[in-house]
Amino acid sequence: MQFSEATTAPVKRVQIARYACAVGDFNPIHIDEEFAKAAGMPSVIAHGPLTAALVIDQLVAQASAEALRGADVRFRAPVFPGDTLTVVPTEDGFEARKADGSVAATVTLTEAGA
Amino acid sequence: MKLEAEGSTVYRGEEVVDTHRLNGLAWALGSASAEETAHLVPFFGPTMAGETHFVDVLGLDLSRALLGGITYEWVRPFRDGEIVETRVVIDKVFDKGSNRFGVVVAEFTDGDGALIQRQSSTFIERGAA
Repeated sequence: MQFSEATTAPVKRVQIARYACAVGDFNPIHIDEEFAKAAGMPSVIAHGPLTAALVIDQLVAQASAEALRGADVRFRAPVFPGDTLTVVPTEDGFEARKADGSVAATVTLTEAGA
Repeated sequence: MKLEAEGSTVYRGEEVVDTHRLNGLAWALGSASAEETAHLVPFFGPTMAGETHFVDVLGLDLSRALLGGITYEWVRPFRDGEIVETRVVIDKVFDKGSNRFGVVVAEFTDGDGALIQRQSSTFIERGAA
């Protein structure tokens, strides 16, 4: 299947909090601003699996959940509130790029029948 | 992370893929396709028994830890209301350079023992080696 470039909505703090509740991951670096700053981050960061889910969601929107058999997601940079992720097809798979062009994650996808 | 944690079982038990969980995840994703995507990624294996339990078993220093990657193998999406057997183990703990790595594998199977999904999550603890 040919995938096209697609961009997420800006990540919101409330979205990170909702994800924490949905999967039960309350690591303070995702929900506690002071903890995140003490750990050297400018603010809380999105959960890695949330970043992965947001990227995968852009692919599901173009194919379907049934059409996907695997995804290998490597995190390259933290995702902060306000970041958008543009999922760009590359020679090796996909890159999830922030608005400044930096790569937040790379993804290798396995499709059904591959 | 503790090297001796390798081989430890983090969690083993049954889970219901309940509508509340799926809706909560779809709400967090907030897109037109979120409901469908939620059926692929409703669980994060390492925190199945609670984030605190996982941190204790692996001996993770949260102030130095990050998630390096996650690999999903999907046989099929989860189905609303189904009961799945879950097994989460610490597959590997090893040092590379100055960092320590931990690989956590979660398997989700149906009532007949057939695999639904396998996740492999790689944690990195900076400067821990």
